[in-house]
Amino acid sequence: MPGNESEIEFEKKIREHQLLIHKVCRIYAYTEADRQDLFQEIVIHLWKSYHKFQGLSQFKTWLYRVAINTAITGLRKQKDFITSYEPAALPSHHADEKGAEEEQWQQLVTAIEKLNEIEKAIVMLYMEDRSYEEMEEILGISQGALRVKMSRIKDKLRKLTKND
Amino acid sequence: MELDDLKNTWKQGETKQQKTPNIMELIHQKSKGPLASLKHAFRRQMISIAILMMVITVANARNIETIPGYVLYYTYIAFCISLILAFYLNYRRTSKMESMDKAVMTNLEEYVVQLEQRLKWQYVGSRFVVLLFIVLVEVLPLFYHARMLDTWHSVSPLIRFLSYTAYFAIVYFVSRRVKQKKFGQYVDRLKELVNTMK
Repeated sequence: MPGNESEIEFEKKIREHQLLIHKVCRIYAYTEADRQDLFQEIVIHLWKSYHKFQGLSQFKTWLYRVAINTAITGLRKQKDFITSYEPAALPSHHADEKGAEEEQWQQLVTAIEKLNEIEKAIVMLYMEDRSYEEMEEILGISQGALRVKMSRIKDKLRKLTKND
Repeated sequence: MELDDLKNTWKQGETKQQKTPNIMELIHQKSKGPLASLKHAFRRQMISIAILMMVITVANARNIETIPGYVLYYTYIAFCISLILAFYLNYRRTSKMESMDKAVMTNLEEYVVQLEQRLKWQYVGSRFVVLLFIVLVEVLPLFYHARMLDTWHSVSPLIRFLSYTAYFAIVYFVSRRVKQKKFGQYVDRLKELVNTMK
């Protein structure tokens, strides 16, 4: 078990990248309670794997891997287990998102919520300006396939927002 | 909506004040995820069987001089130990699954394989337990006379056979249905995701 020094170092790194974890929680969990649970799960999994992180990849890349894997495999635990991605089947509780200035952000996130878990990960990495090379390292999907998927996702989002 | 035009909106989302819990506290808390629940269930099952084994061992320690009691006693001990071992192996396997730092596709593929193997062995295990019970009920009265077993053996073999078949079928379908409801939808969804990545 890593000592106290590791804990401090880990906490510092997580604080530096906390917004990234919040974004993963925002697009993979649908209620505030689920987001808090997911945040906790991601941090616990990061901590459990931290001693194995040897700096072979960037810390951010490693963090994305753990966060996305935790979010996808943790779906079963969610109170709102999504079985269909039809707009009507998606939960509609965004009462915690307030303010007109957030309307566009809300529209974007609502559209992303309608994608499946892998598409969500691809969009998130794209929006975070990750290179296709890094996306390949995180997701394990070839760059060629990622480009094709990204193009399809853009079309899908365009259609989804047109229907709204 | 053009995704590229919204990159700024996405980035501005970063400036929004987020409530972050105390990291030091979080890392010392127990996970509530599906793997942690599975590990907890295996640990609980190991402890329950160990306690049950000890209670029955102590309660029957005086009767083991008789040969049938002796056979039954050690069969029971061996059965309990193999169950504890099976739960321990499942526990270890689940612990290994907790490592989430591989590429998402690799991690998901391995995760699905592990879950399916676990489910398969649970099916095999539950059927084996039912068969063992049937064999014991049929064989024991040859060595050991108990009122209930003797009464059961006075029933026609055909009715006994039909009852065993019905029992086996019920356990088979109920366990399948429970597992499908509990894990099936989850595993199917993960498999679907793996397929979309290929």
